[in-house]
Amino acid sequence: MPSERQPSSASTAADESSASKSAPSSEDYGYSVFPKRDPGADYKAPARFIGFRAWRHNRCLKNVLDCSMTDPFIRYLIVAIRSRGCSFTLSRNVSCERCRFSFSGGYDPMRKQVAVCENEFWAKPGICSVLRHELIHAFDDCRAVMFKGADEEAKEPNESLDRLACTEIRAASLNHCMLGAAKMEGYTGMFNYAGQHQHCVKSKALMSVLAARQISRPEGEAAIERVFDRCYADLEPFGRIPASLKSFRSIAIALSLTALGTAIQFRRLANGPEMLLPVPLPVPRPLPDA
Amino acid sequence: VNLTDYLATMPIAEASTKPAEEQQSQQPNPKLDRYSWLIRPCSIYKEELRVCRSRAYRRHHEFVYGTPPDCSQWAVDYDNCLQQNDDRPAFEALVLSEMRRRHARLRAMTGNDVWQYRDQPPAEWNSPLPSGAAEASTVDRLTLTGADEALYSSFEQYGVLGPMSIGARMSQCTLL
Repeated sequence: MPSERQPSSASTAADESSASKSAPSSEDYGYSVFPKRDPGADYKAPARFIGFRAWRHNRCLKNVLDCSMTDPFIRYLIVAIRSRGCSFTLSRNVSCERCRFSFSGGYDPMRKQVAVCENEFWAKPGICSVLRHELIHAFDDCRAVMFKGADEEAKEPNESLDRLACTEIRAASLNHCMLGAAKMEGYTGMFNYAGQHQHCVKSKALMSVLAARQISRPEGEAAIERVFDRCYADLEPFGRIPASLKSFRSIAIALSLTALGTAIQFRRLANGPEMLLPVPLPVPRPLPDA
Repeated sequence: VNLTDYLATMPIAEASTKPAEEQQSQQPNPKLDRYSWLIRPCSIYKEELRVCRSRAYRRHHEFVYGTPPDCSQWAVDYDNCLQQNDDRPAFEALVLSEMRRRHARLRAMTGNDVWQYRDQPPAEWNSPLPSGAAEASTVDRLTLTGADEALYSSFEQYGVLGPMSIGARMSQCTLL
């Protein structure tokens, strides 16, 4: 059962030794979520019965391997990363670990590792979804400069936030906001779904950006609005926004239709003004004056 | 208004747009022969057309872009592909169509100036992990079970998309 904090991924990096002490803001780039990467953390996990953690860790590893062998999106992303010149191996670049809060995973650009959280999900659909999301971050890190180091990031916070927002927008649009999944999670209705993909992408990207950085919601929304047009159109490596053929099986977060699940759907539908107004068609950009 | 500026208004990276003034020259253009590798097998265009006309893709396209998809370009490309060996204008039209698609896709990528693209993969990509207990346990377990060899041998055996379960109708071009 997911906790009240929406499971999302943190795309993070930080210089552990100096940034948290010398930076004027308390920005830790989300490293506090992963206690194994934050050596200053003093985190005691809640107790479980003996053997459960080992079983969960093994199951996470097995599902990581299963997803890499079976899921075509993950395999395509791994091949794309390797074709860009970055070797991708499960032992070096993927790590199953226990995280704080209710996160599903993150990408560590310092160590170039995909951190899969085994807290919330360890079954195959969740792990596959997390891997797909983080592999987009790894792909973007391989082909472009994503994180320059805590000091340089502090100098130009807007650009670093823009890069993070760009990656999250791409991860949301290419992996998560498919029609069936959006319907199940309450981002769109059953019939009035025309053009709602952007709403879903922006919402998910906003959640991820707010989870990764300690900024306010208007700042996150502004960053997403700044970069949305350019990053929404960048569909590498797929070249198109993939459609799920079996939409109910590719649900990113396996929300079962319990009372909490339906309540979340109705709350989101109530919050989104797009659902009440008729959806406008996308306005083509004006041509430059020749 | 030239083609590049017109393409800048397109939100879809896979779209292929014909310029307003299409000049069909009478003489065959020899420069297009070296781009014949852009042409895909004709079954691919047929499959794309089938997917484009399907109800699921129509719903997906309306969900993303707000309008129903326009499958005419795939139909034109399929016809041209069938006649490319007999008909030189068909071959040239097909090559130009593929060049437009490629241009649109690369344009979407290079138009993303939020970040700077790298020339080389990052140097620290393969740097060894700090020797801690946490990473060591994960690394040892995965290397002991031979996960990497299994994964790479599965790439050699099954190809990129992996083994599909029986009855899974996944189009070859869903991801391309």
